[in-house]
Amino acid sequence: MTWTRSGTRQTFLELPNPGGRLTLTSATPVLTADAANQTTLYYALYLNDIVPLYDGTNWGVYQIGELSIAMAASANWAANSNFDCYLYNDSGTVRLVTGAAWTSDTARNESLTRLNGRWTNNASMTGRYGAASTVTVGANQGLYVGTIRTTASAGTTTWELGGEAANGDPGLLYVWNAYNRVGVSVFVADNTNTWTYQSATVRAKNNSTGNRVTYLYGLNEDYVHAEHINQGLASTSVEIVISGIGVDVTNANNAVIFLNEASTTVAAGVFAHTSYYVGYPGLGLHFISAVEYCTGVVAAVTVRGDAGSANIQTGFWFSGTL
Amino acid sequence: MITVLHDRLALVAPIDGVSVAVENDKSGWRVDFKPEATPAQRAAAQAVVDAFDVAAAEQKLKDAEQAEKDKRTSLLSQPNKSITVQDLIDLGLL
Repeated sequence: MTWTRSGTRQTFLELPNPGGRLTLTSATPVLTADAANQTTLYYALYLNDIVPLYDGTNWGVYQIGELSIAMAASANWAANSNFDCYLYNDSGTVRLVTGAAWTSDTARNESLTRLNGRWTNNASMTGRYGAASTVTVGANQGLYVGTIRTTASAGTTTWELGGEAANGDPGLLYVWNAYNRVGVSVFVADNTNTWTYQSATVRAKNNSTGNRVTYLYGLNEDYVHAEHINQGLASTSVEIVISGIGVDVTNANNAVIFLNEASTTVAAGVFAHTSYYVGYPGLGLHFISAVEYCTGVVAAVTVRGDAGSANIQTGFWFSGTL
Repeated sequence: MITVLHDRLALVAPIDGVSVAVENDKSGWRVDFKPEATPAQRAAAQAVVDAFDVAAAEQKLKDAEQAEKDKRTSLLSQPNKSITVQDLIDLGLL
């Protein structure tokens, strides 16, 4: 097998991996800060500036600069949809293109197939590299490099690492890389002073959708990990709040380890609660939510956000690989 | 304070709980009603929130805590008193 580089055929012992990453900030392949509601998608150089592409007969290795797609307000990137991203050699110009929208949050429209170990488009497809610019990408000729998700606004995607706010500041991780993935941590803190709860029904922490992280995985290869630390004040020995973690739900506790610190000897007290989740929620869009419930319903349990104190902050932590 | 508010709200409407972002800013307070709460009950709960005096509620809690401490002090200052089950409960030992 042979490959070409910059138009000159050379022999490589091993086909290199693509060296860039999908990102929402130019020249910033690893986002360590928010890039909220962005309308330009970049393929930024990271480990190197070369990509392997298949022309239908041979693999070629191409040297590239940063690539991008301007998506602003274009209905071609419909709101609340997932899009796979590919690199493609368009008659000598390497382009970053997207395929068709997934058919649902968790099912892709155009299937992928491995060619010599690399994910490519299984069948000929339309690749879009502008609001009015498309190109036909022959089978296997698009190298799959990741998946993005649009927000409620067409042509817009986002990267938000959460934070501290009343009712929680949610994390939104809408860019996933097939190559050169890095670990991402998101911390969501609800600085509401306190709240009460008096029900055995599992609900979102502080009954808020802000206490969650929503993320996108283009392949189901990496686990996610979440940890929820809470503090409750039981008014009686039978009223203990339990802090858990919901995976794609807020009405169930999917934590694999969780504690309630129930006591039959202490009539009332302050209890710290920790719960953990680790697992593979699957392909596509998912959310991990902090949840809570009580073991009894005789009296209200008080739960602390920050208790109005500089010495307390409960919260929720998520880590994944994107 | 929030438990006092919860209890007062529960008297007028079916609730799951109440959330207080900051005590001195009622715009950040939220009552989580049970689904069966009627519009009239929700309105009554809002009236409770509007009328709720944080300082008075905290003073009431402090007074209750002081009364509890006084009761314990009184029991512990009577070394020759026969201890009853109620005394042990009052001391928080049962």
